[in-house]
Amino acid sequence: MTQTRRQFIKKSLSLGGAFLGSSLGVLKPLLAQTETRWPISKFAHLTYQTALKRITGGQPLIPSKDITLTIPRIAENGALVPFTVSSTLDMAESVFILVKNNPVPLIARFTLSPQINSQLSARLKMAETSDVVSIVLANGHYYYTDKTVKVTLGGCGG
Amino acid sequence: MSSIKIRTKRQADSTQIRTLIAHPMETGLNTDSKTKKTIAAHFIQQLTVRHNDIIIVTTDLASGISRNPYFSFEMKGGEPGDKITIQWTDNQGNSDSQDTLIQ
Repeated sequence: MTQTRRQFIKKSLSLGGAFLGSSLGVLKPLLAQTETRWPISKFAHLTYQTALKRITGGQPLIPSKDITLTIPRIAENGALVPFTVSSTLDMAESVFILVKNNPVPLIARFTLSPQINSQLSARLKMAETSDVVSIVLANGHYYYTDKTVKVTLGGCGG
Repeated sequence: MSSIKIRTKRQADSTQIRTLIAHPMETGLNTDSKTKKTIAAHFIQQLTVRHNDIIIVTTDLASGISRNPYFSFEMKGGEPGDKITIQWTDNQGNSDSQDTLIQ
């Protein structure tokens, strides 16, 4: 059987496609695993709204007075902004920190065991003046509180 | 030398765990001022805190955390001699871990 070049290419392409498909099938569970390890989709360069949607899955955010976000109102240096989140909500499982105007809005996700009091602090970077939002997942609901921080010197400039 | 420093402080019914990690936390958006090349992203992705080998905090981080990250957590209970382990992994596959005993 003779085969024209065109036919050969067609065949090899479809074969390649089949291979690609199957290898994707193999890859999928691997990807799912990395998703639970480090949620890359949540840490992508997104707008704040999209990042939020990926975190909450479209669930509404409930403003709460039980979360306290302690952060300076004016940060001289955006590369180093200390913050503390504490909450008196029962059954707090996760704490998210977001900076609305950063290239990657989600800063960190803390997953807490019941042995941890919901109080934690760290230091974050801010590209520019922005709202800082702390979200606490408790009992399946997302509660939040936010504060505006004025940055006089950006933290991400080269 | 380990890149992780851990300090624990016992309070009335809780223990404060503070840690300072030496890490550049590069965002991948900055350029080198001399070579004009983009500096590759290099940041800690995951940090776990264990109390007597049981995980008490897992943290997923992005490059939005400041260079040489500092974290503080408050744990319920905690006795002198309990082991606190902190371990991190970054996006370039490096990792480090450090134990300390509560004083």
